[in-house]
Amino acid sequence: MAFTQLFYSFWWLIFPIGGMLMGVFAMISRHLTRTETLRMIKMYADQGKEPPAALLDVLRSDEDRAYDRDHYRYRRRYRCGRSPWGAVVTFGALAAGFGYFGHYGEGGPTFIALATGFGVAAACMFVLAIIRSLSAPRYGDDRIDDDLKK
Amino acid sequence: MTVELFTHFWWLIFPIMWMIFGIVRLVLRSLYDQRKLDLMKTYLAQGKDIPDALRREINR
Repeated sequence: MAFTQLFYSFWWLIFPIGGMLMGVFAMISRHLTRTETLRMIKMYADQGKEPPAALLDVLRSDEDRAYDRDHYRYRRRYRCGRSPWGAVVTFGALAAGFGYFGHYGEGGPTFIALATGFGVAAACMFVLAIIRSLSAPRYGDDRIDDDLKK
Repeated sequence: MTVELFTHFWWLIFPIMWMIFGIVRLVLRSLYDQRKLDLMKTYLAQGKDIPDALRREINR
C-alpha cells in the first residue's frame, strides 16, 4: 500500500534517475573507449610502428573538437549535429500550449509557470541560434576547404 | 518511517548522486591518466617522440 502511494507521488523521479544512469553509462563507456585506444597505441609503439592518425584522433578532448572546423563539417555531413532552431520551435510550442490552457483553460498557475519557463527557454535558444548561425562556419565555406586541403 | 523519510528527503537524491558522479569521474580520470603516463613512458623508453595527441591531453 505504502509503496503504491509512493509510486504515485514520485513516478516522475524515474526520468531524472534514468538520466543519471545513462550519464554514468556514457561516462564509463567513454572511459573504456579511451583506455582501449591507449592500449592499442601502446601495442603499435611496442612494435615500433607509427599509430594511425584515426587512433590518435580518438584521444582528442571534446573541447578540441568544438573548435575544429573539420568536425563541424563531419557533423553536418552525417546530420548528427543538433540545430538550436529545433529547440526554439519545441520550447515555443510548449510555452504557447501551456500559456493558452493556463489562461483560458483550467490549467491554473501551474500551467502559467510552465509556460513562463518554456518561454524563457525558447527566448534563450532563439538568441543562441542566432549567435550560432552568425558565427558557425558554413558548409562549402572556402576557409574550411582550405583547412581540409592542408 | 522509511516512506516518510523518503517523502521529506527525496530531493537529497540529486546532491548525493552529484557527489557520487564526481567521485566516479575522478576515479576514471585518474585511471586514464595513469595509463597514458604508462604509454608515454613506453615511448620515452624507446627513445621516440611522444605523439602530439598524447601531449595535448595534459593541458585539459
